[in-house]
Amino acid sequence: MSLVIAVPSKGRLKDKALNVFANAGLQIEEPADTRSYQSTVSGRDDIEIAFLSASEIARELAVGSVHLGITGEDLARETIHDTDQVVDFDLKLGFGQADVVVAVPDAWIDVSTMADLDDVAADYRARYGRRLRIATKYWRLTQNWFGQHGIGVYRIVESLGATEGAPAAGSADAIVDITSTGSTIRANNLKVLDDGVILHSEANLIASRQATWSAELQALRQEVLSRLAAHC
Amino acid sequence: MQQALLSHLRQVAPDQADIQIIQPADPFLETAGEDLRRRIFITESIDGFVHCLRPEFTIPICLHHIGISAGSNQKSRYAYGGTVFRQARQGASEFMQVGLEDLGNADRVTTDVASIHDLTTALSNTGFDGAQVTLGDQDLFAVVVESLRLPQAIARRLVRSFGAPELVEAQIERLTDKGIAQNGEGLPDQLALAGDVAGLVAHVEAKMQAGNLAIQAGRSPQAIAERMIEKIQENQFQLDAQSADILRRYLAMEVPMAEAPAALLRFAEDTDLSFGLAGKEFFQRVAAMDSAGLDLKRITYKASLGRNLEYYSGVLFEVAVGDVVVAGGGRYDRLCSLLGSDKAIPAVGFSISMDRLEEAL
Repeated sequence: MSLVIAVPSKGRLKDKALNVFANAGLQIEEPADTRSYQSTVSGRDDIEIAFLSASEIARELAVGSVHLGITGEDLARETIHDTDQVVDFDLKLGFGQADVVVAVPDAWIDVSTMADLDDVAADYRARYGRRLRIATKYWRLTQNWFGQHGIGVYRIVESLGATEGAPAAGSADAIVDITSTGSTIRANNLKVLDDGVILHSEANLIASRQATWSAELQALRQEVLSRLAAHC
Repeated sequence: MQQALLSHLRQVAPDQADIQIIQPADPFLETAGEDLRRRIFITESIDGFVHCLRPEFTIPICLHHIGISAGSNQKSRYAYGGTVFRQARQGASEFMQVGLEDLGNADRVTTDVASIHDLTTALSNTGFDGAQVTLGDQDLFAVVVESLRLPQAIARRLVRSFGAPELVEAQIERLTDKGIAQNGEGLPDQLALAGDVAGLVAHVEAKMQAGNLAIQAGRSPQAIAERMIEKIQENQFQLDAQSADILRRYLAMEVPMAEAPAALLRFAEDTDLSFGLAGKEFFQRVAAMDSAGLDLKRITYKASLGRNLEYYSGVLFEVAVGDVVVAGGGRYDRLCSLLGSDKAIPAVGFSISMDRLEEAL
């Protein structure tokens, strides 16, 4: 049985991932048929490559249908329940860096911490007839983070794009979103809370504990890991 | 056992509400918050409407009562029994509950005591002797906090955390140790220090315009300005050792109910506070429990017992058989208003966990 590694199928994540593998002496072949999502590493018949979208990679790692995968820590933690029991974050790959943050309107001059947000959320309904609304695509990360800060009374508004525009559009009061430089957040007149960084995310080599691992596959995992680690 | 309990409760609470297993999720999420979503089973209908499997009976019964009592001050006592669904980390996700809700009766003391009496009697009639009641009171804690004349935001936060002892203690510690925070040099801080509400409102409005935020859409400039001033005042505030001691001593109180009035009076005298109307109600409740034939030796007053959900008000109680807490209840006068009732509906009730009861056997 060969080691199955899931690699992002498009975009910058794909390019960077292929690059990191190539530098480590593992040349991933572009599939001969461009419609195919399966490929190989040149000269290695013990490794299979599966090209998948970044969020699919997290799901496949969760069920163990791939051994290793390259995807963002944000997607892994958002997609996989009890993340650290299900997967191992083997290696940070040094690209795809972005923070998952809690941001509120700049005009909320009285809110700079999660504790402030807690105060605001507590009497939101009494004042405005509805709960404080948070726009995000990160349901799980938001619920965990707000729970850790003792904030229970708010509502999540699902946002699948342009989350940072939700407060100005009036569809939410604050957001949980991903940002790499913070410029989109500032451009939308929002500010990140002082203690509002939920996660410093980047692309990781992630191993599934759910996959079937033989001694040979574990040895292969170590080989891939040490080759990549030497070049990251 | 479930049938026996339920038929006993139906004798004292004859009103019935037909509560479906599939419920609209919104009332639960609006009252208990997004945090509840992880603990209930959510499902969506084909038109995108979000439902959940009944996680409890109180909210649906309140919604039913709001519906039938529109335009009247109807008093009803509902007994219920059935399966509730909760996501647990492991183990079962279906639990059997039996309980009672007393809605619309403004005589708080009488209905509080009736509720506790009905619960303990139902248990003893079904063979559970020696149930121990622990009783707390949200309003008394609010009075203690109020007597300390803390900045409003701090007082509200303490009251909100009541029922989560570690949260309350963490706040007391932080407020005692934090020292006086330095206020910033920025314009908002200067305006807030000067108490200049109009200046702050103008400052916030300018920022809202810059961010294309509709002023009517959410937090108003006025609310932001007022909270900014509160926050600056809070920065200047430090909890003195005496006040911290009063809070801790109050929360540590745990006495047999027969001794509770005297203990509270002694505490009030020592700390120079008055329990006022909340105290009067507490004393009346103790007397009413006694004359209702409740065994005060089996009831403990525990000052720290509470729930940090905003709709609870007044009395709270838990009933244990042996070491297992098998039932809980209390007063939640704010719940029906939260659920959209345009008039206040007084409410008190309890639920018995059949699974816990079996565990206690």
